[in-house]
Amino acid sequence: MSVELHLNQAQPLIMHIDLNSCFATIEQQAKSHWRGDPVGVVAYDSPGGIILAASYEAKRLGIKLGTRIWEAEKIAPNIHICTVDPPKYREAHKRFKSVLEEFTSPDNITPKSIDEFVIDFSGSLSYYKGQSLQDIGMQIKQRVHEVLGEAVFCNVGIGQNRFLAKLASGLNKPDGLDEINKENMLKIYSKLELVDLPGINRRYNTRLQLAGILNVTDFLHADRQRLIAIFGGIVGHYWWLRLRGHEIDDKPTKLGQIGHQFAMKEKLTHEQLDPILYKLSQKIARRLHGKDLSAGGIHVGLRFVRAPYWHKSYKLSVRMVTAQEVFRAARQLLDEHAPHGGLVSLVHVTTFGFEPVHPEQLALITNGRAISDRLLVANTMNAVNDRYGEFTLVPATMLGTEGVAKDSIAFGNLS
Amino acid sequence: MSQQVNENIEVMAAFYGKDAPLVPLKFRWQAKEYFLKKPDFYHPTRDGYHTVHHFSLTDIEEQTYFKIAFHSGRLQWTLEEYEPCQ
Repeated sequence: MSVELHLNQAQPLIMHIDLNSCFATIEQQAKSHWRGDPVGVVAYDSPGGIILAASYEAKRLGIKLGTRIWEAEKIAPNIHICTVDPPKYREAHKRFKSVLEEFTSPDNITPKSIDEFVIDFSGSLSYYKGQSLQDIGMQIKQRVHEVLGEAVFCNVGIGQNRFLAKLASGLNKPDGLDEINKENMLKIYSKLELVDLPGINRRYNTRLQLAGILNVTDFLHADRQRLIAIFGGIVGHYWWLRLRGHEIDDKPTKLGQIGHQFAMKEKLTHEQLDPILYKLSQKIARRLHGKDLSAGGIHVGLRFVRAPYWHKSYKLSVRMVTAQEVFRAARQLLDEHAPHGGLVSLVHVTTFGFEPVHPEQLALITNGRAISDRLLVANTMNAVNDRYGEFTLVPATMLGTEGVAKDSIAFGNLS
Repeated sequence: MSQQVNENIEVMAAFYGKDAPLVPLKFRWQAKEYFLKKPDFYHPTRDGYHTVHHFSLTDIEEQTYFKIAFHSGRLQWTLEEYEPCQ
């Protein structure tokens, strides 16, 4: 059967490991009296703020990502709410990675987000010491418990490709260890719904249902041409391979954008946003400098109190490297295109179209200075801030923005 | 919800430890002395060139949760937040 279906016949050598409800669990580790109680981690603790991460105790009550604080408190009056503490989660990520490095070379470990890693054990020494991947998975779970703390558990999934390993890691949360292989794949697929598959969102689910693919077994049995027709091209071919355990998700993802946003307590018009806009630009520029990148495009969005969401992006002829350049581009976009007068509740600035700063391709005919010249002041400011702390030396425009757009942490990536 | 404090405190600490470079043992705050359990979580942050060591822990009776920090540049301990455990 597995041959007829073109299932990958290779041994499963990919392991997916993720921490359970990472932010909430780390808070329960840090605050031992919160263990066993529902916990919600939020960015802003006003009643309308939304839960970014819920503990398993909260999830069991129906509190999940996106639940408003007031709703969560109605469901669970004993819920503990706390604001995000990014340095704590970065430390957990660092220790989590150090545990995995005890088992294999860092080259085999790929971070997928702050709380999940993939290990490719193909050719790994520890695998060939006669241990099964399930043995190694058990040891990793034990070490995570010892190194990160007694409240912290992880899920381990093993599969022939990244997709199956991730799917396996979610089968028995919150403390699972499962393998999907060619022998048990059909049985496991038969118990799942389409939306249980990583990568199948509501939109894809609707598309598959409309095409008569009602469950995962139908999905597996659909022929390649049919999936290509449903997904409209190569994506359908990838799904055909992915479901059969063939690896197609091992390519490193290219950094697509760097951005920051700020939700305002005190509403302002966009003409009054300069200090905040500059601070967001400064944070973006710091990350660009850290990665030695320049940006070729900018995207700015505004959420208004009583007007539709507005956003616009454009590509620039001169590449941006400094905070001032990012700020000017964002300000120009707002001045020329944004609706005037409305009160803004949220602003976000994102840059894209990255290229390495070095080596710099100098233009024969140019009306601007070389990037290295433009970076002189920025690098000096960075050196001062590295020495004395972030935002010690800031442009006058940014004065009064202490506490604005504080440290934040991304779920999706680690850039 | 934890109460934010950010007050300087006197701490007795031992400079050993597997997970952290030092371990707070007891501290004095508002004329009261608190003996501390082993930290539940430790994490460092940067303040320029200096490291700030943060410890999340409870007193030995598990009556109160504290987050205290040691600034390696100013050699100063701070009580950052606390919360009664009940």
